[in-house]
Amino acid sequence: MTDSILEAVQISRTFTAQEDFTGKIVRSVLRQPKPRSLQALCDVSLTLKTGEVLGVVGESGCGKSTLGRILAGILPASAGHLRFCGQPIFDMDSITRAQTFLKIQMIFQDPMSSLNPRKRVADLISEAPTVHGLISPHEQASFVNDALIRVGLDPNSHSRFPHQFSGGQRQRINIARALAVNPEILICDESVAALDVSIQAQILNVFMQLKAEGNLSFIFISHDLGVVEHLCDRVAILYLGRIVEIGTVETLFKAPKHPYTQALLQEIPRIGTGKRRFNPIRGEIPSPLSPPSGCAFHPRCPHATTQCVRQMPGLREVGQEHLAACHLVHGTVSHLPTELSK
Amino acid sequence: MRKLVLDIQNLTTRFESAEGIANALDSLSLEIYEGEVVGLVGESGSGKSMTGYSIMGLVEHPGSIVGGSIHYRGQDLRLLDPEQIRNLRGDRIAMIFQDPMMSLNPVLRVDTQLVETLKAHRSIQKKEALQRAIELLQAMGIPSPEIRLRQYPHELSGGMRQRIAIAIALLLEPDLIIADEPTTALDVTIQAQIIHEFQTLIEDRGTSVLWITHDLAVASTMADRLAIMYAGQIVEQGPAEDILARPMHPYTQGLLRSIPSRNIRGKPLQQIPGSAPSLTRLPSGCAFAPRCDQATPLCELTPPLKQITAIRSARCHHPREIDA
Repeated sequence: MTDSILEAVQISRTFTAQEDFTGKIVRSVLRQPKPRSLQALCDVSLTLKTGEVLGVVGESGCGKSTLGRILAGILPASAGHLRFCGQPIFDMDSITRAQTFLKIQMIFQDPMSSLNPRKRVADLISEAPTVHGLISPHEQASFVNDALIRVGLDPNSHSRFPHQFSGGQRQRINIARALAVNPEILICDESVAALDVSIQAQILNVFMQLKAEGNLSFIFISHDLGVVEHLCDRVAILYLGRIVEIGTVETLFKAPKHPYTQALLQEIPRIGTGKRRFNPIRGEIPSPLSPPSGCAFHPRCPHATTQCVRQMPGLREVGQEHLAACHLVHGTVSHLPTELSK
Repeated sequence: MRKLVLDIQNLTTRFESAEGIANALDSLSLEIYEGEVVGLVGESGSGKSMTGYSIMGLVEHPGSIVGGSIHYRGQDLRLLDPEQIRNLRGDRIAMIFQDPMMSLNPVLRVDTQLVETLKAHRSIQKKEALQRAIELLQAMGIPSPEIRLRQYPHELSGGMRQRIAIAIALLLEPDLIIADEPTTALDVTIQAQIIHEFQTLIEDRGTSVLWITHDLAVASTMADRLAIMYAGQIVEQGPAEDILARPMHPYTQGLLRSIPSRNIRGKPLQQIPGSAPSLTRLPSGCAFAPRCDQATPLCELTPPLKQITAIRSARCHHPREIDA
């Protein structure tokens, strides 16, 4: 059994509107209420095992990008712990923490805006490892050469600028840059969402090849269930800042327990179903500024009971390595239909 | 025999710039029959949106339609004067965009925009127009439409805005709706709701739809017929189920193999090498040939559009039926 490389324990994140000095005075003079805070993430715990690809799925505003940023150390958490190989990251001194977060690299959605347009590819890729002392300046040329080959780019393109590449090639540059500091974890935030289907396949193949090399673990954040099913080993479903279901791709896609997961899986358009009618769940995603009482999904849930309105369900084991947060699922006995209708 | 609503023949839309001449549409032919949903599928830059703009007469400088014809119920849209086009547009032919704010005015309340649309094309009392608007918003799945009508677009969520943009398009019961990626920016659950309501409304009214999308899966759940675009041309056309089960053009085959699916989970995806060519520097002959694994020397000549069966055509020298 593989060990856990990254562990998030009850991570929460609250955003509050920043007030400047005059704003504070105006508010106290006018006796306005304090600015409302927004709970983007609430008690999110998950474990990334060494060598696995963990998918994080959710719709807009569910907190999946916030989670990615906290795990990569870009954004501080409001509460909770992070452990890297068992070591609590937030307790480390700043130097050790910086070294630890160097092992966790992130790849973003928009391949253009995450590359400095004024830098040549060779500089983009070699800057971080040079600064961190991983390579010496005279090794740069051969290092860049190897890095470009690894992600399937022409090594002779090292002196070109980002705008001279296509979208797929730019995303390859981003991957090469993230890999340049020898990370152990890659956090991919919608990294293939902006790409055309044929290019998306190329980038997914790069990820799968990296996975097969076996030195990396991945957190793969996406709204695209088809891509997640293809690439990931386990998947966590996020709804309004909480994990509602987590399990292996095999069990979760075959027998989803949470009504939200069931709805998501029923509603993805798939090829091969032919022309069909959808049977969508009602309502929109509630605003995290005023989340519903009890289970956040109850206003849209077709099975909701009075208990769901009153009480927030916790994550409970519903099968092997399979957790769901729903009152209507008790262990392996379920009041919900578990098999998806074809 | 079903009636033809839209008949596009050899339509060429050209853009001229310092970089050269680009044919955004290159002798494109497409027919849409009454009550039919045609899915127009392609990747970015393939010309799928330009097809919509060309039909609607929305091609702006430096672009222009340089050849071909667009007939709407026997009337050549290219020969109409601007006044006649305006009367047709919004009334008989409506368009929905990916960004609903393309069709909504940010400084007008929702009710003003709906009533205005009705009054521009019909002699109708305001009260009656409002009633029509409320009924339609309800049918589009908008809860408490009376409240929504009094709001401004910025007060609504993205999904709500798109529902209202669709309601405006449907308001005058057009014969043809051109839907340009209307659900692309939306979440899965909202996309399913909107597709569901849209399907119900167009089926009740027998509206024809040109559904433009990059997402083959969405197109396959919506469309009766599919047209696949590459570099300004339709490279394959036919009944949706046929094309998805047995694609003939190597590009369609490649597209279908690039999509992750259940039976190839965890295996490398078959990818189309390279990327789409720039329209100003198209290769001579077949535009797809440099990326095609089945290309032969013959592909250096421009392939004709081959009518393979009565209902299927492909623009390829070597079309082969392959089980997807």
